[in-house]
Parts: sequence; structure tokens; C-alpha cells
Amino acid sequence: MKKRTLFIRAVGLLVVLLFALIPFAYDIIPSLPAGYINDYTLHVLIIGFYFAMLASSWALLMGYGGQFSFGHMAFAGIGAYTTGLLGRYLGTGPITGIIAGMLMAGLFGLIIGMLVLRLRSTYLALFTIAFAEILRLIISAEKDYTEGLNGLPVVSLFPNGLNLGFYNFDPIDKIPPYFVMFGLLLLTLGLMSWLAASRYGLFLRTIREDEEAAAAMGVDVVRYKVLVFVITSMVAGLAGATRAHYVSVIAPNDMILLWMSLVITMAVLGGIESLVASALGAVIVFSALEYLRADFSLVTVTGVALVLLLMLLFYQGARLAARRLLDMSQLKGLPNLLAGLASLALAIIAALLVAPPLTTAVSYAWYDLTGALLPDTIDMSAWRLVVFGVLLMLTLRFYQNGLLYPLLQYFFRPGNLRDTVAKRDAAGQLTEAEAGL
Amino acid sequence: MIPPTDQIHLELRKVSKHFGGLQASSNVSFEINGPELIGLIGPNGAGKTTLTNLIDGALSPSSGTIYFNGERIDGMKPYQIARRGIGRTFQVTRSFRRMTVLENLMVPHLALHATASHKEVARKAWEVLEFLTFEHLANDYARSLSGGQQKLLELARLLMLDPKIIILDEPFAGVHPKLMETIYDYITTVNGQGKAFIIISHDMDTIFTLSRRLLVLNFGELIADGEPDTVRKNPAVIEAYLGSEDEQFGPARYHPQEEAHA
Repeated sequence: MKKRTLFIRAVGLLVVLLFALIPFAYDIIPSLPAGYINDYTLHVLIIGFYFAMLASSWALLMGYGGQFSFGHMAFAGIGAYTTGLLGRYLGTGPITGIIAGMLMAGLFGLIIGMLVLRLRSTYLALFTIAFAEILRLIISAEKDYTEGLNGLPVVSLFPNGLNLGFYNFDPIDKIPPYFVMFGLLLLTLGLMSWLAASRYGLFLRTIREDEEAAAAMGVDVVRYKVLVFVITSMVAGLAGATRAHYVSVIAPNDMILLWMSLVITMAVLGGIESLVASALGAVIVFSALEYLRADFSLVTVTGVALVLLLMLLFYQGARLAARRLLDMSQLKGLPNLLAGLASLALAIIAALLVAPPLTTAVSYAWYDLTGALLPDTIDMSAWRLVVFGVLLMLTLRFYQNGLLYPLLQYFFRPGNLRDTVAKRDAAGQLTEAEAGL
Repeated sequence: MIPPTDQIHLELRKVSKHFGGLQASSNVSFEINGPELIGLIGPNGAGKTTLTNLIDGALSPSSGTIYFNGERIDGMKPYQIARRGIGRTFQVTRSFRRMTVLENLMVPHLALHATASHKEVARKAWEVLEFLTFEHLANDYARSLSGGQQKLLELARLLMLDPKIIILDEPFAGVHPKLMETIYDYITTVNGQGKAFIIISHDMDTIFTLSRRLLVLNFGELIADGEPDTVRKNPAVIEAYLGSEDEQFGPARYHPQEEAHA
């Protein structure tokens, strides 16, 4: 028990350290080939952290509290426009603005939370869609004050750069905002995880499961439901306001429903019942979306698709084999890890063998059928959202716990799973004995 | 917080509830003094569940008042009433399905005791689990339990709430004989520890042997209140059960043979 906690903390610290060292990669490893980590990388990660704050707070709202809200992006927008408008009309700086944005989002969270108390699932979703769209349309329409679709300019996070004494950062340097966003992500993730692990998290989950039963057990449902709206809205507002100062211009289109769907995708792919998994999911999904803005050769795309498909096919068989060969109870997650690696290796080999002739064959067939040539490359920037849409659908259908959360569970809390399996076997015997009576 | 007290006194005074034109409860008055074991019966749609919902705060009465230990509780929220010591189960089992058995048990205790430590709660939860011989399922998700085990889980959760009055809505419905025995024992044991019970049941044999006082509802009205043997002979009760033809039990249960058997 103690050992495992230590292990989890060590891995967590390592991940944090890894992200903290990314901006200094070339100082640490001078031999690293140029071009891998640059300002664009840092920009992608900064926005990735912004989405991680949104996805993890949405996971607290939805995964723990069971409140399906489409309004999260709107709360981020409230944070952004609060600091933007305050800066424009009162000349406040970034820090005051960000705090004000966070509080304003919290206030709106309180109001929305109280308005939707009696709404369940679908009705709540529809209500929050209406709220988000109304807010976006008001901001677009009031262009005398908000500049509408032209976008509202916002002062930069560090308008005069940052002087640390030993080093002077330019206003356009990516390193200070990187650490601001990363720090805020760690702070909010830490606070929310602490909340989720406390009795508050327990009560939230009872509300998700069954409000009436929770109330009958003495849980003050109204209070906790409103509170979760306030807290998650504040995190969203904080993220939105900080991003506003980082990108220096905000527009109503930052909060369109497409972005909201993306936040949901990130949380679902990571696993909505885990704040850390959904935050990681956000960083990964956003990076993938950015790095898919390129042309990929037809062979590569076919190959990757084949790898994914074949891995799914091979995995169950490999896992069964690994479980037969290895003693499950002794090795915890190892058989599954080995099965995963084995099926990945097999899939890659198979894809390397199959993808080129398959692509050629398809190209020829296409030419025979239509008389036109298939292009050699595919512009993935048009297709990337489709890819993630399909991934979202598959995840919802087959892995409702998300893709990252089960992995984290498996390697960091293997005891839980094993206990449950063993005890369920014992329970099975009990039922059989009872049936015999 | 509410000061702890061993006193049990629930009083309903002319409690009525109507949904539009439907009179679900009309002028129901009764008292519970001390750890009584009460059966609440009546034909389908007689207003039994409505009455329990009125007591536990899920509904508030259209008129009339409810006092619990000297405090007026009608109009209070369910969680406030739960914290004052009235616990209930539901007709359909309502466990927290995507939470473990242990977590299910921890909820009421943590909700009631703002300063309780995790250790203290876990210890108490284990005691309850042992009492119901449920320890081996502690880390299982509630959704993986069988229907009967979920019933037991609800009863265990009630023990963690530690209420003074326990309302059970159809505890014997759809339960196999072995589990029925367990639930029966649970009721008599916990009742012996000084908790009052109100049990709704359609299982006439069990309710007549188990309870020491019976309340009979028909069309929202309380038509009889007394010891099982007296109630059995009450003409109004017989009328209520014989009067409706679509009743699946009733006439047969009150056959003279059964009387002799009892």
C-alpha cells in the first residue's frame, strides 16, 4: 500500500519534471536534432494545458457530479471577456483581470447551477447549449463594446517581458507563459484532485448515481451540486482568462460548440472519471490535432490505420496467451503490458508488409474503376477532426472508461482490480451454494 | 448539528396529500412511540409509498403536520430529515452503482458527521459489513452485486445512517427464501437494538408474523391501526381487500383455514 503510493507519486513527479524540462531540452541534451522543440511546440503545449484545465474540470463536473454541461467553453469565455473588457475600460493588468475573470465565471456558475438544479441529463445539456450560444451571440452582437467578431485585443501576459535578475525574457518569449499555464494546470488539478478524493468527491458521485438516494442518506444534494458548478466554472474562467492574455486577442468564435465538443472528446478519450487522465487526454489530443495539420503519404495513413486495426484484433489473443503463460496473480499488470507490446509489434510488422502492396493495389483498382489517379498524399488537416470523431464514437461504444484511465488504473492500482476479480469469484461460489439450497 | 437522543416519537396529524384531483393521502393521523415494529399494508394504490415519501420529506403534505421528537419536520428537505434520524429504503433498490460497497456505506456516516475521520468511518463500515456477512464484497462495485445483495447493501447503508426510525419499502419483494430469512433477522435484531420500523409489504404471511402493529391504508385513508390479530378481523380491512377484484392477494389470505392456522 505504502510502496504503491510512493510509486505513483514518483511517476507523477517524473511526468511533471519532464514537462518542466521541455523548454530547456536543447540546454540539457545539446545533441538533440534541431527543430523538434521550438516555439511552436511550446505554443501547442501551452494551449494544450489550457484545454487540460478545461477537460479536467469538465471531468469533475460530468465524471464525478454527473452534470452533462455544454457550457464549459462559455465559462472560459466569460473569464476571457471579463479580463479583456476590464483591461479595455478600466486599464487593469493581467493579474487583476485573471482573478476577476475567475470570480465572474464562478458567479455565473452559481447562477447557472441554481437554475439547473432540477434539470437532468438531456435537459441540462440543452439548457447549457442555449446558455453558451446566447452568450456567444451577445458578445458578437455588442460589437461597440466587445469588437464582436473582429476580436478584442488583450494585453499580453507579460507586456514588458519578465526580468528574473539572472535572465531577461522578451514579451514574446514562450517560456514564461508556458510555466504560468503549466503552474495553473498543476494548481487546479491538485486542488480538484484533493476535492475529488475527499468526502466532497464521494458525495458528488452519489449525486451522479442517484440524487434521491443520496438525499435519503443525508447528503445535501443542492449544496454540492451548486458548489461543483461554481468550482468548475472558476477553473474554466481562470483558464479562459489566462489564455486570453497569452494569445492577446479573443473572439466569440473561441467558444463555439466545436471547441466544447473537443473538450468533451479530450475528457472522454482520457477517461471522465479521472481528472489526471482527462488532463493528459487533452494535452495528447490537442498536440495530435496540431501535428496532424500536414500532408501524409497514402502509404503512411494506410499503415497507421492498419496498425490500429490489427492491434485491436491481436490484443485479446495475445492477452489470453500471456495470461496462460504467466501467473496473473503474481505479476499484476505485466501480462497485459506484454500482450499490448506484442500485439503492437506484430501489428507494425504486418502493416509494414501489407500497407505498401495494399496501397498500390487500391490505387490501381481506383484507376481501373474511375480512370483517375489517387493522390500520393492526404491533407490530414481536413481529416483530423474526422479521425477524432471516429475515435470518440469507438471509445464511447467500447471503452466507456476512456483510453488512458484504465491504463493508469492498471499500472498504478493493480491491487484494486485483482481484489475485485478474486472476490467476485468468491461471491460467485456463494451464490452457487445458495442456489443449491 | 442535532443533539443525539434515544427518544423516538413520530406524530402525524391529519396529513393529506393530493396530486391534482387524486387524493393520495387523506387525514392520516398516527403516532409512533418508542421502538415499535409496524407493518404498513393496503391494496395497490392505497398510498403507502406516498405516506412514506411524506414522512421522509420527498413530498411535503398538502395539509396537516408531522412532528418528530417535538420538531416539526413536514416541509423539511429529505437530507435534513435523514440527519434527524429517519432512514428509508426504496421500492426499487437504489444503491450507488458505480461506487464500491465500502464507499456506499461511508456516505451516510460522512454526511452526518462533519468531523469523522476516514479511519473511524471505515472501521464502522467494516462492523456493519460483518454484521451482514458482507465483508468479501467490500471492494466490489455495487453494480456487480446481485439483486438480493443490493437489498442487503441498502440495509447496511441504513445502519451506517444510524436512524431512529427505519422505513422499508417492500423489503421482501423478489427475494429468495434464504435472503428473506436474513432480512427478517436483520429487522428483528435491529428492532431489538431500539430502532423503530415501518415496513411496507405485500407479503401478508410475513408482515402478519413480523409486525406487532399494523396500519392499513385504503384510498389514502387509514382504515385500521392495531395489533395484527385485531386488524385481521376488522371488517373494514376485509372489505378493502375483498372489494377490489383485481387484487392478487387478499381473499385467499383471509380464508377461515388461514385463521385457524394462525
